[in-house]
Amino acid sequence: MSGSVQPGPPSNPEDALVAREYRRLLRGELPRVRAAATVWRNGLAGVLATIAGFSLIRGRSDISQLASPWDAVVGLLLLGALIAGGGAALLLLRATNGPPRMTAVAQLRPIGMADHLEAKAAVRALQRGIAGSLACAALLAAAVGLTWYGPASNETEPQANQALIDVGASGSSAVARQPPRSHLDFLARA
Amino acid sequence: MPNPYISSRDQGARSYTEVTDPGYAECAAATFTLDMSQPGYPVLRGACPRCKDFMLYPVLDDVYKTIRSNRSSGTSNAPGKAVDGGRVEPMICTCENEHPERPAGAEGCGAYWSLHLTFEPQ
Repeated sequence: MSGSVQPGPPSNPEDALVAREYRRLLRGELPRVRAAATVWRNGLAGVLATIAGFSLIRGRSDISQLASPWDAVVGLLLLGALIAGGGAALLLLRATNGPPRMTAVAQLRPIGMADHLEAKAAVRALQRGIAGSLACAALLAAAVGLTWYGPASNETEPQANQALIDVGASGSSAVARQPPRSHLDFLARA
Repeated sequence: MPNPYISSRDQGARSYTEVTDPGYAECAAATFTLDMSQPGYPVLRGACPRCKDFMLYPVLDDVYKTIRSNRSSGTSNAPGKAVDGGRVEPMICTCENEHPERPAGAEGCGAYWSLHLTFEPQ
């Protein structure tokens, strides 16, 4: 592609203001992207840590108490959450810090455009990182919900019944030792 | 017509003044070249018609402002206005040389003008 340059129409002060605003945005573009990526990274890390911590309260033995094939479904959900979360973390780190590699001098051309190209790549990484983080959060929430409220396997029913007997015999300490797998089950039995 | 490539350093730096002149656009059109080496990212390069200092001016379609959803990319449209067969680009001097009385955060010598750019596929 080639181009030609010709005189434009007469300029007025408003044109100058528009051009200065454009230049101001362009000069601060890359630092603004990096700052936004840092905030998003920290915020999403907090959200994911909260959800992951919440899901680990019950321990993974709960998955084994699920009826087949729901235990496998939960496993797949957790695997998907791990992949989405890991990918999102790498993308957010890339958006925050840039790629950990040298840049060939030949790739700096055209001069004056390098920061914009990097900002554009960082924005893409940030958008994908946000999407991956939200997907990770959704998958984790689905896995936790399915673990709590999914159908129990037949092998765990006697344990749940025994837990209810313990509740009647010794009060709430039995609930802490062997909680009912499902809140709905608990309500139904009560 | 004065030599457009005599820098303000050779003439003594002009003070910063936000000013335009019909001759600026004609002078810039005669001396600026459009670097299209990176497809989609043209850059104007040449001498400011007022201070004669070398300057670069990327011609972009958008610039990052804030992050938003994919439907709205969070970019701000660049100032160029599309016209038949090209675009009109409002420009300011972006030289990196010192100019007395330049406000903090400003750049160049204060001159502004506009150019009509035409892009042609080879």
